[in-house]
Amino acid sequence: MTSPPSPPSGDPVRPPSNPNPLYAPPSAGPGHPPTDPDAPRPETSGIPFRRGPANDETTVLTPVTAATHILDRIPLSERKRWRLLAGGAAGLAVLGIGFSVYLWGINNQWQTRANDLSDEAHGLSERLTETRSQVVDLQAQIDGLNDQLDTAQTRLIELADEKAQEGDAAAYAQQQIALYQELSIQGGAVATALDRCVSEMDKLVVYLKNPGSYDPGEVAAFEASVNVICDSAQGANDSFQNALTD
Amino acid sequence: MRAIATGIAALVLAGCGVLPAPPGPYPTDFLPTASPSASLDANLLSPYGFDAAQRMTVRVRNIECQGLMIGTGFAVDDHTLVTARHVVEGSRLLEISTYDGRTFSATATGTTTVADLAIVHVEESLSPFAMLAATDPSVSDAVTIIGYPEGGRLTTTSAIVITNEPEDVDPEVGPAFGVTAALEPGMSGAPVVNADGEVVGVIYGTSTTLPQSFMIPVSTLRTLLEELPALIPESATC
Repeated sequence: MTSPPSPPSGDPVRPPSNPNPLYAPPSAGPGHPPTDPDAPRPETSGIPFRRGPANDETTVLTPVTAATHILDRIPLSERKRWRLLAGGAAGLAVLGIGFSVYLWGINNQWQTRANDLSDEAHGLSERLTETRSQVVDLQAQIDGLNDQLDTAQTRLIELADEKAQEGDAAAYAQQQIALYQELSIQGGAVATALDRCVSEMDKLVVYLKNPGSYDPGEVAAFEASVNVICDSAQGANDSFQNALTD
Repeated sequence: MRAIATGIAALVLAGCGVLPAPPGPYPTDFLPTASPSASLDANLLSPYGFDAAQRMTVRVRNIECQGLMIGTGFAVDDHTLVTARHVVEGSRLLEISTYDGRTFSATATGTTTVADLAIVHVEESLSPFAMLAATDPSVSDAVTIIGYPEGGRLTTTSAIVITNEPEDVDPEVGPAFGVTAALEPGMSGAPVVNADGEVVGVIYGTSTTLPQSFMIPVSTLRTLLEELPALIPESATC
């Protein structure tokens, strides 16, 4: 608040004239009786004026005495502004406190959740480590089993092959046995034919040694038949020999 | 002043909108809902680790009147095998051996003059069978040939389809494909399998000049299987 200029000494200070009825002197603040413009003004030499509460558009200067309240020393518009600001600040403070309480609660909840999750993560980490160890062990077992399977598979192929080869050998042997049986039969037939040839030859020799005892025509016919028998036996023998060499 | 109050109120309301929410309900389980499970196609592997292509491939022993002929064949259904015609020609007795050493007798049902193919009937139930591809292979396709080279162990050979007009092919064989594998005797009748495990051809011969072998495509095999009654019965007279 600025002090108005001091009036000249011995000259009473008067408020400016009020040409507008709205400027009727308002009632003074507490402790200040209403002022009458026509009433003689109190002696206020050396005492600052205060702004009266007429309205925002008027400025009524009233002398400020020692009993004037501190708020009354502030102009009315300023006081309203300060009250609004104070009210707003108080509201904001209340809101801030509310937010703080809310955020504090949320923070506590999230901290609890973070701790729980951290514990859970530790547990899962331990399980993961254990599972990884199991995976490594199982992989080693799988590798070992794969090796065993490869070995077993190879051995199975070998055994199947050995069995097949033995089957081939058995089939071949059976064929050989059948062949030898056939050759044996053939050899027996050849032997029989040769034996008959020899037998007939012996008879022919007897006939030829006694020409007078037999009809020459019959002897010649017998000789021809013996030749046929022996030729046949010889042919069978040749076939047999060829079969043996094949 | 009123504007300031309104602004403060707006700030308060906006602040309420961005306030952190309390944590939700505590999860009851942190493990994934989908637990790992073993997915192994039982049809692909036998208990001994052999795949379907190996299991369907059999060793054919043709006991002729004089001598033996060893070849390869494969099952196309419960009681039917496919092999090369020259493997079963002149047979007095046919014996079939499986990958795991089982042996049983068979009879040649019939052969065809169109291609070097033959159908063999077995009394025992065969499993698994070959899945025939819908189309013939293309040049550069990777294939696998399973068989018994020299009548020995079951062998798997990788090859590439190189051409569909091979050289020195018997004209009566019909259309054929070449593969980049010099196969040995005993592989006649072996199945040629593509990357999907489907039969795309049957091996019937090998080149005398190049490291190549020849196969009859699956389209010809399909035609043969559809015309089973038209096949020529194999006689077994010595």
